[in-house]
Amino acid sequence: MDEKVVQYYRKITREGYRYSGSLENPSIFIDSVGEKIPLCSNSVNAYVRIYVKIQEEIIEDVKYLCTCKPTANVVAEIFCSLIIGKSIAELEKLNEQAFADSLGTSDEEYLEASGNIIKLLQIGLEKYKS
Amino acid sequence: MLDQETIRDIRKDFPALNNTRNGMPPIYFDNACTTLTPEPVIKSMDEYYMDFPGCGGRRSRHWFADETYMRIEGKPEKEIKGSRSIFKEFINAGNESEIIFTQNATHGINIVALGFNFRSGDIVLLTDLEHNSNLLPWQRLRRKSLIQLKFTESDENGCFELDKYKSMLEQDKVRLVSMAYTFNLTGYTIPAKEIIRLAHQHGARVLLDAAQTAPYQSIDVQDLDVDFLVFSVHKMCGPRGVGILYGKRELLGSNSSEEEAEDVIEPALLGGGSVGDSTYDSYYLLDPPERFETGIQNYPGQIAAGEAVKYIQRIGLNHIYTYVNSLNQFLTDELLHHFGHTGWFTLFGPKDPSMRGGILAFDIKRPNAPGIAEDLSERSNIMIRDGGFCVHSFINKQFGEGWMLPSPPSEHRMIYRISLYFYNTIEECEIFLEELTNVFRERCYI
Repeated sequence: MDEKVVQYYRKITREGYRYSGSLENPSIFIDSVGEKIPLCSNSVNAYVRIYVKIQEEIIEDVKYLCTCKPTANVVAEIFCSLIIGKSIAELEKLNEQAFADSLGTSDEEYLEASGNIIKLLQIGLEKYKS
Repeated sequence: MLDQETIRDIRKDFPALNNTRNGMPPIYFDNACTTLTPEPVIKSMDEYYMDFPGCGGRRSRHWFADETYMRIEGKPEKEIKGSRSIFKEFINAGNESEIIFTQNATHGINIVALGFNFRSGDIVLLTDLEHNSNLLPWQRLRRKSLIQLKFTESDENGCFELDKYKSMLEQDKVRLVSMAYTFNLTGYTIPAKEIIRLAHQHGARVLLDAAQTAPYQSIDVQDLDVDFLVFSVHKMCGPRGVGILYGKRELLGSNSSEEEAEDVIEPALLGGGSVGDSTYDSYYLLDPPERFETGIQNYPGQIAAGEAVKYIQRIGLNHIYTYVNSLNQFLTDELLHHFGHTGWFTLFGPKDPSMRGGILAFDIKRPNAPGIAEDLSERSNIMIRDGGFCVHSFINKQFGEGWMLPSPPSEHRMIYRISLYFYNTIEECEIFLEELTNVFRERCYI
């Protein structure tokens, strides 16, 4: 695991998984099991379910459930921290660079999982808008 | 007991063990899924394709076919023993016609399930730890209301409870007992001989799934008095896609006998190779084993399967079991010593490794427990297995359905299985323990 990812992982295991959980009646529900998009391409054990609550076009709350390796779990936590309080327009612009900047790493596994969670977000946004 | 020098020599026979990744040789601990293949077995398949790739089974009259036929059925006048005869001796069957080539153990179980003369309401008795191979074929018959299914319950260590089994036989009119001889999750071997004796005493037939037994232990079907027995050759250094179904001769049918035993199985599949003659209105089947081996067969696989048996017999099954179990003993002791007290590391099956052959499975109940097998593979070229091990029914009962679906990290868990074979070494076990400890440390478990 990348050192920056390890550091963040240690932080969340020490302080608690801030965004872990689920939301009732979410505005957007994204299920990577159903979408068949694992967070890590070589894993059948790296799935996430994301629950997003939107109030007046702003992300009011976000939670996730996962079954994944530490790196993918870090990505899920970073993802939530990046989108909470943001507008839908800002969500549409979310990219891997934001994840890289957030931890200060370009680790391949970390960015791959970031790319996949962005793909899932886009699917969720499409469904929300339709 | 196999010594280190012998193991070093044996390892030279396995080309895959030289297949380094990032400069590291593979540490292959997934043998209960499929074993590696030694050169003599690979060569025998190559030889078929390169030199005489003909049809077996007496279909064709030319020398390619003769060469193929000879390697499978033998040629006594040339003192050539065929694969079928090798398997007959391997499990001490009474007759070569009792040895049916299949695709694998699953195929063999399905042949029995689909061909057995069930009467509506018949009871089939399984254990609670069956592989899907020995569960789904029976569930399908239950769905069709043809049979009832009952399950014996293992004790808290995953061991078979003979007294409870006996009560079930006394209570219910069981028609067929179908059980894993050795469990793929725990490595525990059931007391098969006594199970069969009791079943027969109560008028039930017995099918044993010996997929995890045949690679490690001698099997004597006559001594066991088992009615049907299946296993896969890919778990014992053989090619993929070849298995054996043994059936007692009187249960496999015949053209000549006027009165057949009640429990004779019919071939599940019919077609070329299984039939003596046919008209637009009728057909007659050949005697076993041909009647069960319809269509063009996996001839190179069947030839190589015989080579695999010869290979492991040269090493000796007793030596294999003792050696593999000694590695299991070492790993079990180390793992329990370091993690047994943590509360998040739990062994499956009996704690005593001498009851688990070469299999060691454990549950890790910690955040982000999934993915350790991938980590070990990527960072250290160590191959172990994770998941539900095709024993979903048992694990779902223990952990609750959907236990592998996304959940809060605090509820994460994953089962990992190490399965050993004779080419594994104590050094590999040490590297595995070190790397596993590193993974645990990185994940903040220790």
